[in-house]
Amino acid sequence: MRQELLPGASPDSSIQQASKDTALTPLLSACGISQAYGRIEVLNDVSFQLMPNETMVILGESGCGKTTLLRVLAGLQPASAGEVKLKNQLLSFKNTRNPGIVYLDQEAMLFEHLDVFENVGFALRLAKKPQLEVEQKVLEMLVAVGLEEHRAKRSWQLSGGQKQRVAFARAVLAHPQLLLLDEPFCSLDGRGRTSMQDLFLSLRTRFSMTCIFVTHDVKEALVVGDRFSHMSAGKLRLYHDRSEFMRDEATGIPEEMSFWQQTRSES
Amino acid sequence: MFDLLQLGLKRAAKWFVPGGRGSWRTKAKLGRSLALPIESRVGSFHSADRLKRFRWARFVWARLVWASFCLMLVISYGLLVILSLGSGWSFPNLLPDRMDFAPWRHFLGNRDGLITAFSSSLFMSLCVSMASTSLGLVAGRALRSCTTFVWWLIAYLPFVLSPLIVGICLYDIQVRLGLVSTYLGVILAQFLFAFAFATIFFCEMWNPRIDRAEQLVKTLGGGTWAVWKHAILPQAKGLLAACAIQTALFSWLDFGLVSVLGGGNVNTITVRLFAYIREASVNQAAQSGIVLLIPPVAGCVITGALLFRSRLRSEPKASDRLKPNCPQFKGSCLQFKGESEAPAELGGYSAGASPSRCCGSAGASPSRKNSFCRAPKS
Repeated sequence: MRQELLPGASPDSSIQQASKDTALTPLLSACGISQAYGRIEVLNDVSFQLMPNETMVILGESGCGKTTLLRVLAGLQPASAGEVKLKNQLLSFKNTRNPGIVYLDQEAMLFEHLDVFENVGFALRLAKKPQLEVEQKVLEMLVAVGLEEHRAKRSWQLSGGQKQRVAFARAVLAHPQLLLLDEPFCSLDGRGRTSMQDLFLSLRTRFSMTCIFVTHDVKEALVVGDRFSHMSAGKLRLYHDRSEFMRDEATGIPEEMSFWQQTRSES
Repeated sequence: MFDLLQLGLKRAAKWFVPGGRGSWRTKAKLGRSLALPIESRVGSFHSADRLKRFRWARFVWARLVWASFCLMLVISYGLLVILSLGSGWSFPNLLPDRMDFAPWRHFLGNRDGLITAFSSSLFMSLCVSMASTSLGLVAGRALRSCTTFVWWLIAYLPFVLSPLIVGICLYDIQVRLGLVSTYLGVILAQFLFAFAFATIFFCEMWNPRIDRAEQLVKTLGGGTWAVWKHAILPQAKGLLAACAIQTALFSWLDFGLVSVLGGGNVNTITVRLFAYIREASVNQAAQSGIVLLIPPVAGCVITGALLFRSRLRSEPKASDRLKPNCPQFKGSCLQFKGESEAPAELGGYSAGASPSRCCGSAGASPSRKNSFCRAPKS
């Protein structure tokens, strides 16, 4: 994607052009991904592109293949067919993990032998960052997620929402090129979920993150997503915009909206 | 004391005697009460008297179990100590005529290969324990993912045959390899059994939770060492200690393989013990029996203390159970209030808990969030 400097063009304009090109280049390109367990086809020719700083929501019922798709993208399991490119670099399914892609599980898995501070700074420790930098970044992140008072606690001393915050902060501090979130807030109640969605939006903006967010909650999909898709029986359907997503019967949004309108008119 | 015993017997009669007082529902309720922590059952007691009686009954039963356990230990090990100290024990007397350290002085003064036997037993058990535990951890995972029946059969095969029979079968092979009557030959034979035990022992440890922890470390940028350090070893350390002790004990207490494959050249504590028994030397047999028992008991005490310390570090303390964020706290709070659980973001307070009974409530100020909630005094 590197372009020659045109005669007469200033270096500043070339930098602007380069950054524009980078913005136009998809961060992630998935092409024809298929996966089958025996005769059961879990993913069927899934193809999509994701631009930098975008959050793509994948809505779908349980067991439609959402988690399998994320695991394939994260390199945690191989696909039967297809290819994945991250910044135009082909990712191998044979690798145990794909560099720069962090997968956040449904359950907030915290390391029980580490406290909150060490859990959040786990990726920085693995990257062997200097102690001062680790302390500064982790404290900053703990303040951002509202857990600065709980820094010395262990996982069993935290509530479900707090655990999710720690897991999310840990994933963000790994500075991934792509963050894959697999129904991360599904175990939380209404208020906890709303709080986590707000936190996600603020951190996404602050750290300019590119994310794929899997959920089966329509409201959550509309709150966190920039781009929308729906998965059913291993097939991914992409929508051009939010209104198309909301109009599609398969997402269940029209049905839900009519229910609330009916309820409102009755009351 | 008599009253306590009477109360305990009454409870036992109610529980065990068919047609005794109390329906099956009452018995089941009592069983649940005994099984659960007392804090979580506080709400089910209507009066202070019932709660007090329940606590007394529990206290009595706990002491009775401990007393029985101690009695068993004293009868078996106490006799060994008496035999090792006493001399001139004639039939009708309950205790020996003389009890002093003279037999021990004689035993330790006339070493007769005891130091060699002790050190060789220790060396062999350490070798077998370390090798079988570390390799069994890896082999257990391989066996877990293995779908071929043959490998499972091979893993279980050493348990089907007696060690003595396997020893006899191995004897011919070791003669050809020149390993018979050597320490290495005996260690290899003991390793065969210990390794099979460790493999099956660790096979069940490799659950999906460990797999997910492993994937988490990998996805955050960790390598193989980080995976072992943060995902596998923290979850496996208790089992590792247990397996290491078990395999070390197997090697330490083994007599069959040593006697068959050692050919008299491998001198261990068990070999010395049986030699003394054959010589009808009661004192020396008891003394070597005690020497045989010291390392296992010490190992158990040390490992128990280590595990207890690590548990204290990683699990909630009794005082922490009363803290708002602790799940046990939520359980007990809900038990006597019967209200729905508050949103986790509020710090885990019970939404409808009244300040008089539970100081943490949905409307509690942030400064009071970490304050203790105490169970009501009935």
